[in-house]
Amino acid sequence: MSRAWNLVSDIKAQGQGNLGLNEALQALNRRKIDLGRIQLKDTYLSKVNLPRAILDHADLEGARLEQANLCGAQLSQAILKNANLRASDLRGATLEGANLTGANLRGVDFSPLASEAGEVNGSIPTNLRGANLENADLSGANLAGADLRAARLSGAILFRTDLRGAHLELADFRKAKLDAADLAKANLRAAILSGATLRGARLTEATLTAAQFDDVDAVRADFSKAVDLPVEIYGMEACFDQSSVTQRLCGPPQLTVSGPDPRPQYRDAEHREVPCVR
Amino acid sequence: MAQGMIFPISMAEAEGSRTIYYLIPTLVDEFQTESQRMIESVFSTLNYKVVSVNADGNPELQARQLRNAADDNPAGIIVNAVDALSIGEALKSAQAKGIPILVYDRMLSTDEAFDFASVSNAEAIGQMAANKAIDLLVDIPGSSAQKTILQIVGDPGDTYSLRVLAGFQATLRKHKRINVITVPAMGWEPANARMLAKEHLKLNPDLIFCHSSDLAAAVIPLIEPDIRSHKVAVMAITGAPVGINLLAQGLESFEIEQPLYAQVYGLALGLQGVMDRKKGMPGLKDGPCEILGVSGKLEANGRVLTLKGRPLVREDLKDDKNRAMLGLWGDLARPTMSADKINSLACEGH
Repeated sequence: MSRAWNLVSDIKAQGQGNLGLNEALQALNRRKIDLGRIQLKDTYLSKVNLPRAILDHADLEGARLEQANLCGAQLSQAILKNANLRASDLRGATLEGANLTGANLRGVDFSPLASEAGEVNGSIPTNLRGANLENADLSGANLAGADLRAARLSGAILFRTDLRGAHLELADFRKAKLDAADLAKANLRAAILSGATLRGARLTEATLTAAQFDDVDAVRADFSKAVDLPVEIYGMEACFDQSSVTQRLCGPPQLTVSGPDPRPQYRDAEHREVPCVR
Repeated sequence: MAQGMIFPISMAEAEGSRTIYYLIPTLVDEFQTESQRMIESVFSTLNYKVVSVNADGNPELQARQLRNAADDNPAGIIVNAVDALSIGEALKSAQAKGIPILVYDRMLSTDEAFDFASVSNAEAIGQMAANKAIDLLVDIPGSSAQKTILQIVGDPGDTYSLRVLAGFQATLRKHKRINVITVPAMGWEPANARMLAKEHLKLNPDLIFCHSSDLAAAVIPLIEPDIRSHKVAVMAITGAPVGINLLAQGLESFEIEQPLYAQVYGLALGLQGVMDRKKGMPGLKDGPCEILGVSGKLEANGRVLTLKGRPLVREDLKDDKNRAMLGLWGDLARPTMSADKINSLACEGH
C-alpha cells in the first residue's frame, strides 16, 4: 500500500504516461481508501478501473480517462477541466459542482446506477447538480434520468445526447448545441436555452414551464405533448400540438442533422449489465 | 389520493403516540429557525412532543431521518424537503405505515406520498414581485430603455423558488425591454449569492431580485453606494428580520413577507383534517381558507393549502404602532393561540 501511495503522490508521474498509476489507484480503491483531493493533473489514466472511488475535490484537469470505469464514484467539486472521459462509465456518479469545462464526454454513460441489495432508495441517478460543463462535448452521452439541475452547459455540444427524463431545472444551455438530442419527458422548468440549437431534437412530454427560448433554432424539433410550450415555438417550423394549434413539421433527426453518430455501440449492451463493485 | 378515502389506522394512533417529527432542510436562514420555533410552539400547545431534526442541506441524510422517524411510529411527520426529487421513496414507505405526512413550505409534486401541504402561494409571490419590479424600473433613472434584472433564486432542489420564478417570468414575458438574468444560489447559501452577484455586476443590473432576505443581505454590501444613489434597487422575498431591517434602512425597495405563522397553523389544521379522514369523517375540502387574516385556498381535494404573501414597503415600517399591528414574523411577533382555538381552526365550507 505504501508503494501505491508513493506512486500516486509522486509528482514526476504526472504528465509522463501511466507508470503503474492505474494499478496503484485501483489497489487503493479496492481497499476503500479515500482518494479525495488527490492531484492527478494531466495524467494518463485510460481504462482505469475505479468503481465507487472517493475522489471529491480531486484535481484531474487534463487527465486522459478514456473508457474509465468510474461508476458510482464520488467526484463532487472535482476538477475535470479539459479531461478526456470519452466512453467512460459514470453511472450513478456524484459530480455535484464539478468543473468539467471543455471536457470530452462523448459517449459517456451517465445513466442511473441500479440499486444493489440492501440499498433502499431505488436506482441512483447521476448527480451533476450545479456542475460546470461549459463548452464540454457531451455528444452521444447517456444522461437519461440524470440530475443536471442548475448545471452550466453554455456552449456545450449535446449532439444526439440522451436526456430522456433528465432533471434540467434551472440548467443554463445558452448557445448550446442540442441538435437531435432526446429530451423526451425531461424537466426543463426555468432552464435557459437562449441562443441554443435544437434542430430535430425530441422534446415530447417535456416540462418547459418558465424556460427561456429566445433566439432558439428548433427547426423540425418535436414538442408534442410538451407542457407549457413557450410562445417562441409557434412561429417555427416545428412539431407541436397545443389546445388550439397543431403543427406537424418534425421528422426523424437524421433527416435534418448530419454527422456520425457519436454513441458507442456497446453502451446499452455492456455498461448497464456490469455491476458496480470495487 | 381520492377524497374520502379511509386511511389505515397507524400503530402510532393505535398506541396513542404524541410525538411529531419535524424534518428541517437546513438552518442556514432565519425563515427556517423561526419555522422550527413556531412549529415546536404550536404542536407543544396541542400537547405533542416535537422532535426537530436538521438535514443540513443533505438530501440523503434527510431520507434516512425520514425512515428513522417513521420507525418510531409518530403521530405525524412534518417534511420540509431538502430536495423535492430524492425524498419520494422515503415518503412512500413512511406513508405506507399509515403515518400522516405533512409537507411544510417546500411544496412537493402532488403525485408524491403526502397527506397535506401548507405552503405559501409561490406563483402569486412571483407575480407580485414582477409587478413591483416593473414599477421600480420605471422609477430608476437611466438613459437606456432596456432594463436588466438580476434574479438570484434559491437552490434548484427547492420547488418553492422554481414556482416563484415561474410566476415572475410569466408576468415579465410580455415586457420585451426587461432582460432577466437568472442565477441559482446553491444550497440557499448567502456566500454563493454574493459570489454570483460579483460575477454579474459587470452587466450593470438595474434591479436585483433575491428569493430570500438572507441572499439580499449578502449582496447589498457590494452595491450599497449605488443603491443610495438610486442606480440600482434591490427587492427580496421572505420578510425575515434581516430583510425588514434592510427595508427600514432604505437598502431594499420592496420585500414580500411569506406567511410563516399562518403556514404553521395551517399544518395544525391539516393534521386535524387528516386524522378526521382516517376516522372516516370528510376532512378538509377545496375552497377559500383564511388563517390569521392571511387569505388562501384549499385545493387538490383539501390536500394542499396555499397562503398569500404580503407586500411590504419602507412606509409600512416607519410608524412603530402600525408596524406592531402588522404582526410581522420578521419582528418575531409570534402569535399565541390556546389549544382550543387551534383545534377550532376551520376553513370556509367545513
